[in-house]
Amino acid sequence: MPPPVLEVSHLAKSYGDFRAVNDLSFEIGAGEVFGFLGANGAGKTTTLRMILGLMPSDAGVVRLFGEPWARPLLRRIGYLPEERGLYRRMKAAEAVAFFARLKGLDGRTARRRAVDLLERLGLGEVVDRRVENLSRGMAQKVQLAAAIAHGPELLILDEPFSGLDPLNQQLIEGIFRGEAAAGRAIVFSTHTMQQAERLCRRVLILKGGAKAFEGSVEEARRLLPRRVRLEAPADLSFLARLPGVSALEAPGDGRRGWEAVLTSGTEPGALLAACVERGVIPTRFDSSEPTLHEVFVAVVGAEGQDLPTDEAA
Amino acid sequence: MNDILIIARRELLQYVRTRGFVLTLLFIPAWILLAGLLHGGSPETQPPRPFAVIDRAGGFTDAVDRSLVAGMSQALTEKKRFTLSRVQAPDDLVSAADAGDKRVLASYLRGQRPVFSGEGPVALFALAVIPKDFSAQHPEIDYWSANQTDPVVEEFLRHALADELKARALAKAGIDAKTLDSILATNVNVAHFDPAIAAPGGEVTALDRLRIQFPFVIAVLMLLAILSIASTLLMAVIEEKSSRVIEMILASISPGRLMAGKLIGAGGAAVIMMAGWTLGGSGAATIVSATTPLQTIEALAAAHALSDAPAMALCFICGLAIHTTVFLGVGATARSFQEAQSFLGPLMLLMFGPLGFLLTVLKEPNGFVATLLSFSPLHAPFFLMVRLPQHPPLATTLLAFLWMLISTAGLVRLMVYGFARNILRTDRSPRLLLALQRLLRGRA
Repeated sequence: MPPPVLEVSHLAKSYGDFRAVNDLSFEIGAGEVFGFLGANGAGKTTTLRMILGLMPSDAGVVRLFGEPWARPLLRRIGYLPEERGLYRRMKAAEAVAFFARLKGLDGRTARRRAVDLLERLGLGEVVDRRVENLSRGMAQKVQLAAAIAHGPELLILDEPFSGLDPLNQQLIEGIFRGEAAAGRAIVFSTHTMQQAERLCRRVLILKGGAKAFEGSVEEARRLLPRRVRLEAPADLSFLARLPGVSALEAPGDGRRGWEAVLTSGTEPGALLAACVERGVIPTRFDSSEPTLHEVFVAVVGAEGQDLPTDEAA
Repeated sequence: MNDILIIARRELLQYVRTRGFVLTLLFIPAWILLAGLLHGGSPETQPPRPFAVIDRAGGFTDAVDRSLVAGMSQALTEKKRFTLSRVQAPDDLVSAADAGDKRVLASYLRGQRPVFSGEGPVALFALAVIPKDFSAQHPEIDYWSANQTDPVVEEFLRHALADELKARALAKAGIDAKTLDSILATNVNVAHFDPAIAAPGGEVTALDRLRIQFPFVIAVLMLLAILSIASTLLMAVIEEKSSRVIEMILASISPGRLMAGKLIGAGGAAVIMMAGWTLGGSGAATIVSATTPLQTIEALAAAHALSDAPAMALCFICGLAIHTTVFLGVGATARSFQEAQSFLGPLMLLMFGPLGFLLTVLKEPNGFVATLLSFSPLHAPFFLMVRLPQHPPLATTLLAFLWMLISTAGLVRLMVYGFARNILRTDRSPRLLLALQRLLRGRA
């Protein structure tokens, strides 16, 4: 079995009395897209920076590609920081090639890859345009290209979708899927749960610097009970007595219908069968799994709050 | 390509691609050209200085004219333009001088009314009024001019009239005219000797002076190059920091290697700048003084001015390393250019203020100030460079060089440490003391 691409063990970091990251451990395998989720100030950026050696950790170990952390291994990593920035006076392709060369590509290959990648990202016409003359979205895609042009085995992307319009988000998602299919591991932090839901096989939710959840998206969904929403021209309070229904809320408080909370393993169809048995035909029957967004809100709760400085990010 | 060289190349291109760099390159040659044209390199550009003399005492106008002829003859020999000429004072000017009528005097001396020379109407530069009682006992004249900063006419008149007074006194004492001319033509030539000069007899020649002045010129050029590069370097670091490009770079290479690349890039820019100045300056000198660059190189070679080149190169490398790393270190502590500027002033004074003593050290190369500043970590490269051709004491010089190498290494190491510690910081702006504290000891 190949070693994990990234292995983080008991990582910790404090700023004075504030514990930004607390005993955090996780690992990522090749070809995996891993969502790193958490509220603002949960410790996502701090963790990613420690993985990259941009910031020393107080405790813990980072292993890359099965080896202890060493700077030369960073050449096999692509990084997109949360706050975007490029040299303003560089041309788009020049900027991408510059970072690819720093990662070890020769000049000619770096330039060729830069142009290819920019064309794939829909920026073929601006390869020779200065960064300062690009729109924000374009510059962001150039920076993404700079992160992946050298063909890294591990991609660390801090909020890669922020500031992009839906079409560009879709384009980037496609690129990520392609990279993952090529065997590259991707770790990305995001606040947009829909993207994590669509892209990730596994997610990690950070709360106050510590791991609150780690597992597959399905496992995350199972953290919350399944809910069934029904509307019918009759009293459905009998549903509360059914086995597998842990709670039932009547219409009101903004709800138009009834809402039943099911215990784990209960099939929603049982509620529909009970209604039919009583001669009640629901005008609406809606049974959906909890979304990652709901799981995130439930797990992180109200404690995740913005912190005053980026030190705490 | 090595990652340090990739950074160095980018840094170098960052400097040389700017309009400011091209303008800076043109600065020295343009200055030489301008200075040459304005101060005697091209005689045609020197302003004429026609003056008038009102001689109440009598006989002194002839003495002034004789001096003018002698001056013209000397200028002809030296292939220089003689800009002095005496014109006849118009009657109304004479009356105005008698009456002290400043309105009329001003109208002539400010060029509103012309006087007439052999070349036609010209603006009067000065008017000298020699009083009736002008003599060795009362050697005072009135000198009128709208330009009191140009001393040429005044100096000329002073010497011409003093010579005439001396001549009259000697003639009165019975000295015949021939002896008198011989006495007045007497001059003293001074031959310069220095026991440190290797040539037999130890006579100091123009080439020896060139050898002494050459490192001084290089030190000044080095200072100008560092001053030109420092602000660009500082702005580049702050731009990288504020735009967060620095994170992407440091996710690839270490802060030490990044700084090394920046240092090499800045060094390359400084070398190009100095080479450009030297070549451009030689070109400009060719235009204004008819000395070709080849002749300049031959003169430098003949003066053995290049024999100190290895030691000068060492001073150059140390000076550049010290100053660029200090600016990089300061840039790393600041969040914006405005912030950096707040402690840039004191820093500039600290780093460049003592360099005002360069001229003093050139004149007194082995004095207390020179010795002291040769051991100053921030300034030693400049002062040692200037002292090199002037035979400083061997033991203290070796010690100063050793100290320069050690202090440069220590300072660079300290700055790399501060740079690495602070470059990713973006929290609130540091106060000066806090910034210095951070720079010196870093803070995780």
